[in-house]
Amino acid sequence: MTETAQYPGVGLVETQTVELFTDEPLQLENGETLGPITVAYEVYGALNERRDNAILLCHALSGGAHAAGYHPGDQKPGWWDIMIGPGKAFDTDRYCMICPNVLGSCYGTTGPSSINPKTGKPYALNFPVVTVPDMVNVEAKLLDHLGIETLLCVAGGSMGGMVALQWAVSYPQRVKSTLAIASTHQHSPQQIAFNEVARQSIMADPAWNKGDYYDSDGPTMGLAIGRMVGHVTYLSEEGMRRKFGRRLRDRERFGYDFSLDFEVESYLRHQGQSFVSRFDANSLLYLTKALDYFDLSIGYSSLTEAFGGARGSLFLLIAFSSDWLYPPHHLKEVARAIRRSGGDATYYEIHSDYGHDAFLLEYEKQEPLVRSFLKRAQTAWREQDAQRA
Amino acid sequence: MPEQLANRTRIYQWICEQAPQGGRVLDIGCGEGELLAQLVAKRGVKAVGIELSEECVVKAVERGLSVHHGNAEEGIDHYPDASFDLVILSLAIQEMHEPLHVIREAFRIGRQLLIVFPNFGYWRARWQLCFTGHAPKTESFPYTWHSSPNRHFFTVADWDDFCREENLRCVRRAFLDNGRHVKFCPNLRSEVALYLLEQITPRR
Repeated sequence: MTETAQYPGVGLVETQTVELFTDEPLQLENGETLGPITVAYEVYGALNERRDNAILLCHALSGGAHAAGYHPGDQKPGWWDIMIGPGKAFDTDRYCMICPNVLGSCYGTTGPSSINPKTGKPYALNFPVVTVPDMVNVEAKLLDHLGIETLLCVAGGSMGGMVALQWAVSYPQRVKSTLAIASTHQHSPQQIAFNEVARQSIMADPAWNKGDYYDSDGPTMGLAIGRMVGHVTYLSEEGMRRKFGRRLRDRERFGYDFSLDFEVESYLRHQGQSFVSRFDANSLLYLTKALDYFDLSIGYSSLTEAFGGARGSLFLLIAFSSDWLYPPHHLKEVARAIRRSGGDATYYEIHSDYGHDAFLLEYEKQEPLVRSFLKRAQTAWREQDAQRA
Repeated sequence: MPEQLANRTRIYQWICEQAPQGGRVLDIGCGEGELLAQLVAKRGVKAVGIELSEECVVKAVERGLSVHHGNAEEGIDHYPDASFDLVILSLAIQEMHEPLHVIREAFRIGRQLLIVFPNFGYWRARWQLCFTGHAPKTESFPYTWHSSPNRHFFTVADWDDFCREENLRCVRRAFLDNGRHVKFCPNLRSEVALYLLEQITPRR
C-alpha cells in the first residue's frame, strides 16, 4: 500500500516543538511570570510568497496540536481532519495552517504536567493559573518565531472559538479575519457551574493528592466523572433520544442493581474511561479555570468597545440551534457587538440536534461558509494592500 | 420572459440606479444576496444583508457578502443611528411580524429607505375578488390562503396614506407591471411599487 492510500488528506504529519520565552519570561495576567515555555504545534500547507495565507487553528478543551493528518501507525486522523487538507474547507493547497497546543494543556505545550526546571519535578499546582489572553500571548510569540506577522484568519470551535475571539481583541492588527464556532464572549454562570462540578469531582478523588500524583495513576475516577459531566453538556436532549433512546445495554430487562442498565450510561462510562488515558487531570483544572475567567470585555467598558480595534477585520460566527452549552444567543451577541463597534460580522445558525458536538459533526454545512469566508478575507486583504500601494 | 422575472430584473435595475455610489447599504430580507451582489459590483457599495432562511444565507455568503442569519427585528435594533446610507426592503415588508417597527428602525439606522411591495390594488386582484369571488392569485401573490408567507395586504393608496402619517417624503418612485413601467393610475395598473423615501422630521 502506498503512503497516500494509507494516510489520505494531508498524509503523515509530525508535531514540532519550540522553546520560547527563554530570555525573558512571559508576564501572566495573574501577575506572575512563566518561562521558558515549550510550545507544541503542527503545520499543514506552506506559506506563500506574499505571506498572506497563514491561518491559526485553535483547538477545543481536550484537543491538541494534531488537527489533521496522521501520526505514524495511527488509525484515526487529527481532530479537524474533515475540514483540513487539499481541496477541503481549509485548503492546504491555498493556505498554511498552524495549530499550536495551548498553554496549560498536556499535549506538548508547557502545562501542570511539565517538568518545572527549578525543581526537576512536574509543576503540578505550582503551575500558575493561566488565562485565555495568556494562551494568546504565547501563540503570538510562536508566530514571531515562525516569522508570521499577520494572519489571514484565526479559527476555532468551542474553547478554540474563545481563543480566536481573544486574538481579535488582543492583536487586532495581526488578524485579518476571525472564525468562531459554537463559542462565546464570556463564560456564563451555567458554563462555570458545569466546570466546577468537573473540578470538584477531580479534587474529591483521594488520588488527586492536592495535584501531586505524577508518580501514580492519579485521580482516574474523578477525571472520568468530570468528563462524563462534560459529555452530557456536549449532547442535546433530542440528540440523546435519537442516539440512545431508553435502550438497555446487553440485557433484556432491568437489572435492579447498580451495574449497567442503559446505553447512555455505557456511553458516558466509556467516554470517561477513555479520557483518563489521554488527558491530565490537573490540565483539566487549569483549562476549565481559564475558560471560567474568560470574558472579552475585561479591561473595556463594554463588549462593543473590546471589538473597537478590530473594525478592519472580518468575522464569521457559527452557532448550532441545539447547543445548550454555548447557546446561539452568545455568538449572536458577539455579532451585534462587532457591528455596533463598526465592524463586519456574519452570523449563521445551523439547525442541528447534535448539541455542542455539532461543531465537529455538521461539517457539510460549515464547509461552504468557511471556504467562501476565507476567500473573501484574502480578497479583501489584497484589495487593501493594492489601495495602499 | 416570465412576468415575475421581468419585474425582478427591473426592480434590481431601479434599485441600482438609486443606490449611492460607495455607500453603506443594508438589505433586510436579502434572500440569496443577488441584489446586494449587483450593488457591490455596479455601485461599489459596502453591503450587509439580513436573511431568515438557512439555505439563502449560505448562498449569500458564497457571494462574498456579510449576512446576519435571523429575523429583521433582531438583525437591526443593535445598529447605531445613521449606520447606513440606504436600507432596502425589497418584497419583504408584507411578510414581517412588525412592519411598523421595522420601518421606523430603518429610518433610525439609515438615511433613506427603499421599499418595494406588491400592490394589492392591482386590477387583476380586484377583478378576481370582485367577479370570481376568490381571493386574488397573481404573479405577486401566487399563493393559496394557507400557503402564503404574506401577512399584510395593502395598496399604493394605503402606502401613500401611511407615508403622510409617518412624515415620509417620497424622493422618487416607480411602478411596474410585467416588467414595464406604469405612469398612469398606478394603484390600479401596477403589480409592484417601488419607493425611495426620506423622513421629513427625524423621529425621536
